[in-house]
Amino acid sequence: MSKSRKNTEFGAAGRLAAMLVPGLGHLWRRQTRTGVSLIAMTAGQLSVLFLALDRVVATLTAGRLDYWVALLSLVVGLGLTWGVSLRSLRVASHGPAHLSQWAIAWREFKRNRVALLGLYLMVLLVVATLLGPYLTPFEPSVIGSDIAATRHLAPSLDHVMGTDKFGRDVLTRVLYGARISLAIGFLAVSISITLGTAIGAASGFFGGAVDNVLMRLVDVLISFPRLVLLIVVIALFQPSLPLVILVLGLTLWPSSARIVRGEVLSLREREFIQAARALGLSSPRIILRHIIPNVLGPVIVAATLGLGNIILIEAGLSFLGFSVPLPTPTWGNMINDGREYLVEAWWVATFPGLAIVLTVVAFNLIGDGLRDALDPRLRL
Amino acid sequence: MSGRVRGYAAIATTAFVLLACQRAETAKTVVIAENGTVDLLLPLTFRSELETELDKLLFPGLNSARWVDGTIEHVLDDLALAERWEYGPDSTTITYDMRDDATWSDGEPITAKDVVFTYNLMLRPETGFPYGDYVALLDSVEAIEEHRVTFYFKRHHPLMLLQSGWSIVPEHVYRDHGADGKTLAAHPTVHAPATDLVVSGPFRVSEWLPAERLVLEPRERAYTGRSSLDRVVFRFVPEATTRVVELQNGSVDVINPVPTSTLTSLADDPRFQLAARGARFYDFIAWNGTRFAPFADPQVREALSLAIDRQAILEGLNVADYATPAAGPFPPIFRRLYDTTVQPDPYAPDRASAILQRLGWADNDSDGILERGSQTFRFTLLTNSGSRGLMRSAAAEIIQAQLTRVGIAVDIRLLENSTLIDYVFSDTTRQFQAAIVGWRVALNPEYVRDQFWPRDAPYNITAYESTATDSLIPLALAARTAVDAASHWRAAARKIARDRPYAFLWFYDEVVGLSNRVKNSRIDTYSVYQNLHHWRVEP
Amino acid sequence: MTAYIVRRLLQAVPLLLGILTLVFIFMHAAPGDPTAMYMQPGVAPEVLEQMRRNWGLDQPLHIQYLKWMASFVKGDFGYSLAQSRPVASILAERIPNTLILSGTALLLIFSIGIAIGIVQAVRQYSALDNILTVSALFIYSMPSFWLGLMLILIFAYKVYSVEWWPDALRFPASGMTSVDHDLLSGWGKFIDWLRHLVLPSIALGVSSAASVARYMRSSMLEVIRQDYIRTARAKGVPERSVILKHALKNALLPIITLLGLYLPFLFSGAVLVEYVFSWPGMGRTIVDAVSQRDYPVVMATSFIFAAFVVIANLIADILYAVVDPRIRYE
Repeated sequence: MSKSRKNTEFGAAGRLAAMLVPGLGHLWRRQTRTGVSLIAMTAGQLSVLFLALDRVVATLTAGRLDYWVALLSLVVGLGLTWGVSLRSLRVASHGPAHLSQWAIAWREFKRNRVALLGLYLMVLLVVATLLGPYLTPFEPSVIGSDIAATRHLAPSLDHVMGTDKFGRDVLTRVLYGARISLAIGFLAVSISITLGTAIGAASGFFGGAVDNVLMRLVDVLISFPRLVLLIVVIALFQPSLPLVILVLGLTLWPSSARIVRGEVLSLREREFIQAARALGLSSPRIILRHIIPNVLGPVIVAATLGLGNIILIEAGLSFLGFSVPLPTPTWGNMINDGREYLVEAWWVATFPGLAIVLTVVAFNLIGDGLRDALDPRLRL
Repeated sequence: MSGRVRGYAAIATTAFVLLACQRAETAKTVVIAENGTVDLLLPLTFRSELETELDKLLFPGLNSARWVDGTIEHVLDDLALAERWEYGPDSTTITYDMRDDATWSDGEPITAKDVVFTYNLMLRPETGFPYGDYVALLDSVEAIEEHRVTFYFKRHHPLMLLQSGWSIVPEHVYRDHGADGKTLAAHPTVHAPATDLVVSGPFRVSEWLPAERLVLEPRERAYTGRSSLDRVVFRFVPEATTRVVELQNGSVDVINPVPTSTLTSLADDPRFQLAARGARFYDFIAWNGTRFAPFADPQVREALSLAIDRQAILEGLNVADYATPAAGPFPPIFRRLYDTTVQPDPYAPDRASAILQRLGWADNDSDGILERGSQTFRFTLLTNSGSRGLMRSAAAEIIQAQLTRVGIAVDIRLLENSTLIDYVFSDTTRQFQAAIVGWRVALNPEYVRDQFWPRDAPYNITAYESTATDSLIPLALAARTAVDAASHWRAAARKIARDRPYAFLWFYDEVVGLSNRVKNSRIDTYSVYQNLHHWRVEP
Repeated sequence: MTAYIVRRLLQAVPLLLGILTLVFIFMHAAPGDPTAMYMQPGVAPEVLEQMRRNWGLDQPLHIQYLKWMASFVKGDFGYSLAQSRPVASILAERIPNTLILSGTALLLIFSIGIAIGIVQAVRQYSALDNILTVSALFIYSMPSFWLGLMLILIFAYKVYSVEWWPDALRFPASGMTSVDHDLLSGWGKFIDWLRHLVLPSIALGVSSAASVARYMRSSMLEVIRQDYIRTARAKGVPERSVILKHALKNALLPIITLLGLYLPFLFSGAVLVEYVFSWPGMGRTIVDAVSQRDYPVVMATSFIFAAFVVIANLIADILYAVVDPRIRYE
C-alpha cells in the first residue's frame, strides 16, 4: 500500500484507461504483479477470441452446446476480469474495510505464493476446459476417413501432443477429457462432502447409539480397499458417467464424516452451543446454523484434497475399464488406450498422465494453502 | 564430510555390482510369453486354448491332426500313439495298432487299456465331459490286444478320425479317481506344482507357478526321442505391452499373441519373425430385430452392411495384412467350404442411403439422424472391453463414425466380457439391439454350424429364420463324407450371406512373434506348439 | 493390553461380516455368471446348466449365502469355479506375493520418506528443500499405474537400446522372478528377486513416500524448535547426533500412525500395479475373479483385504502405545 501512489495522482485520462483496460490502474499504482496478471488474462482471452474468430462466428450458426459454453465463458471471463479489476481498484482506493472471517482467510491465502500458483493452475485448467472448442481446431471424438495417414503422429507444431490410434489430436482429447474428469471430481466431491458433513455432524452431535452405528458404517467403508470396493460395485451395474459419479460420491464420504465428527465433538462442549441449547433451539437448527458454519473450514480443505484424490481414483477405474465408456475421452481411459501403444506412440499415454499430475498438484496446493489460511492456529 | 561421501559411494557401488550379477546359462531354454493361463492339466475338463495346446504335447492321442491345404488331416507322426489304423468292413469302426515302445513318465507302458479307460470316462455322463458332441456318435471302445484298440461308431461320418484322436490319460493313475468329474479334477497331480503329473509325451512339467509360469523339460526316454531343448518356459503375461517389451529387450523368445497395435513395427524388425495363424478368428455385428424393429428388415441390414467400410477399418486398425473382410460364415482358409462367388459387401454409402430413403427413412428435422414416423435411427451397439476386445472396441468407434455419415446414430457401450456374454448369449430374452461379438473359427465346421443357424439353435442370437438353411444343414450333417457335406454347407452359407442376419466383418489371424534364435517351428492355423519337441534354439 | 487387542479383534468381526455380506450381494446381483468363460460353440447349453447345478448356483440366494457362511466360519473358503481347486491354495500362493510387494513398498515409503523429510527439515528453506518439496508434490500426485507404465517404458524398454546404460539399471518389465530363477545360486536368486521388485515397488510406494516426507519434515521442524533440542545444541552435542539421536526419536512418533493410514491405500494401489507388472498377487486375483465371476475367490480375497486392513490398524494403534507412554489402552 505504501508504494502505491495516491488516488489524486490519477488524471482523467489515466482513470479512463484504467477503467477500460484491466490491470492498467494497478500498474499505475505499482501493484505490478496484479497488474501484469490482469493484463495477461485479458490479452489471453482476447487472443483466443481473435485466433478462433471463425469458430466464434460459427457458434451462432452451428448450434453446438460446447461452442456456446465456450463463447459464454469467454464473455463472462472478460467481464469478470474487468469487474474484478475495477472493484479491486475501488476497494484499494478506499483503504481496508472491516474484514470478515473469509476475507481474512483469502488475505492469508493470497500471501501463500505456492497456493496461489495452484489456484492459477486450476483457473487456467478450468478456463482451458471451457474454452476447449476455441483452443484447438480439432474434434475430440470424430474419426477422419483416412486413419492410416493421420494415426500416431509424433508431437509436432500441428499436433502439440501428437495423435492417437485413430488420428485424433491428443491435446484436444486431453482438453475434453478434463471436462469429464473435473466434472466427476466436482460432483462426486459435492456428494461425498454433503453426505460426510451431514453424517459426521449428526454422529458427533447426537453421540450414543447414532454415533455408534454411523461410525461402524464408516469403519466398514474405510477399512476396505477403495478400489476393490469400487470394482465390485461398478461390476454390478453398467459403467456410465452418472453411475461413476454416484458410486464415487457414495463411497468416499467416510473420511470427511470422520473429520466433521471430530470437530463437532469438540464444538459440542463449547459455550455458544450450550447457550443455543439453553435457548431451546431445535437440534437441526443448531446443527445447521451453529455447527456446520464452524466446521466448514476443515471440510473445504478435505474437499479440495479429496478432489485430487477422486481424479486419481477415477483414472485408476478407467484404466481397468470400470469407468466412463468410450468414446468419451477421460484421462484414465486415454492412458488405457495408449498403454497398448506405449512402445510405438508413447505420447498417447504420457500426456493424459501429465494432465492428471498437474491437476492433482493444483488441487493439493490449493488444499494446503486453504488449510493454512483457514486454521487460525497456524497463523503467525 | 568427504569420508561420508566416500562411504555412500562405496555402498552404491556395492549395490550396483551385486545387482548386476551374472545371468544363468539360458542357451537351450525357450521362453514363451502367453496371454492365456493354465488352470488344470487334465484333458477331460474344459480346455482353454493354451491348455489344449499343452494337452497335445503332454498327452498325445492315437493320431495327430494337422492343417493341410485348408482342411484338418489326420496323420501318424512321431507324436501319435498309433502306428497304423484301418477302417472296419462297413466303415463304422476304426482299429488302431499302437506303438509298443511308448511308456508313461512313471515307467508304465502305454496300452490299449489306457485308451479304453479314457474314452469310457468321456462317454460316462458323471464325468461331465464338456464337449459332448465329440463322443455323441461314438458307441464304444474296445481293447482287442495289449496294443490294439477298436472304436465303434453309431454310423459312418467324416469326423471319426478326429473323434478317436483325443488325448489319452493313464488308467493306473486315475483309476480310483474317476467316480465323477469333480473328484477327477481334485487329483493332486493335475494341480500346481504338477511335478508328479504322469505324462506320455515328449515333455514333463518341472515347475508350475499358477498365474506366473509353467516350465516343461524334456523326458529323456520319450518315444518321440529327446527334444534338443533343455527347458520350455511358458510365462503368463496378460499385459500385451509387457509381452512386446519383453520380446524386444530379449527376455522372452516367443510371444503369443502379438497385440495388433505392434504388428507393423515387429514385422519391420529384422530380429523377429511373425507367424500368422490364418483366419483363426472372426467378428460380426449381430442385428437383433426383436429389440430394434428396423433390423428385422433384410434391406435395412443390407444398407447397414453397405455403409460399413471394412477395408478402411482394417487399414485404420493397422491390421490389413492380417485380416480379410468377411462375406459369410466360412473363412477363406476352408478350401472346400469357402465360396469365392460370395463377395464381401462393398463400401457403398450412396447405395445404403438410397435403400434407406426408399424404405422411408429421412432426416426431416435436419439433426443429421434419419427418422421414419416417430422412430429415430439410433441404436446401442454393445461390445467388450478387455484384451481380446481391444480390436472390437476400436472397430466399434470407427463403425460409429462411418454410420454417422449415412445418418445413423450409434451409442457404443463397452461391457466387460462376462456381462457381454450374459447379455448376448446366456440371457434368452436377448436384451440387446446390436452387438459386435466374435468366435474362434472351429476347424471342423460340421461341429458348430448347426448351433448357429437353425431357428432354435442355442447360439442363434438374432432369431434368424430360414427354411432353406433349416433343410440344408441337416443334409450336410448327415453326409457320409466331408466332400458330400461341403456342397450343402456352401448352399446354406450362400443363403445366409444373402440374408445378412449379421454384418460379417472380418476374419483375422492371430499372430505369434518369435525371436530369430528359435528355429524349426511349425505354427499354423491349427496349432502353435504342435511340434515344440522339434524346436531348436541358437545360443 | 491383551484385553484391548482381543476386544479390538472382536469388534472387527461384525465389520468383516458386514463387508462380506455387501460383497456377496453385489457380486451375485451383477449380470453375468461364471459359466460365461466356458461358453463356446461346441459346448451345449445343458452342460453349462449342469455346471451351474454342480456349483449350487441354482439355489435361492439366501441359501447360497448361508451355505457359504457356514463353511466360511469353519475356515473353508470353498472351491474356485475358474481354477477348480481350493480357494485356500490360491490364497496361499498369492498372499505372500502381495505381502512381498507391499512390504517392500512400505519399507521404501518409510525409509525414503523419513530420510528426505529429515534432510528437508535440517536444511529448511534451502534450495534443496524447495526442490524436494516440489518434486514430492509432483510424485505424490501421480497415478501409480501411470508411473508404472512410464517406468516400464524407460527402464525396461528404452534403456535396453542405450548402449552405455549399465546392465544393473535395466530392469525386467514383469513377473516376480526370471525364468532361469531356479538355476541361480542362492545369492543370485535373491538379487534376481530384488531386481524384479524394483520397478513395481517404486510405482506402488513412491507417492506415499512423498507424503511421508511431507509429514516428516513438519514433524521434525516442530521437534527441532523444542527446548530440549536447543539445550542439547547449547551443550555442544554434535549436530548430527542432535538430529539423529534426540530429535528423530520424537519426530517419528506421529509418523508411525501413518502406517495404518497407508495400508488400505497400498492394497488399493497394488491392484493397479500388479495389473501393470503382471505380478501374481491378490490384486490381480481379485480383478480376474470379478471379471470371471468366480464368486468364492472374490469373497475370499475381499475378506483377506479387509482383514489385512483391520490388523494393520490394530498394529498402528499398538505401536502408538508402545512409542508414546502417555497413551494407555484398556
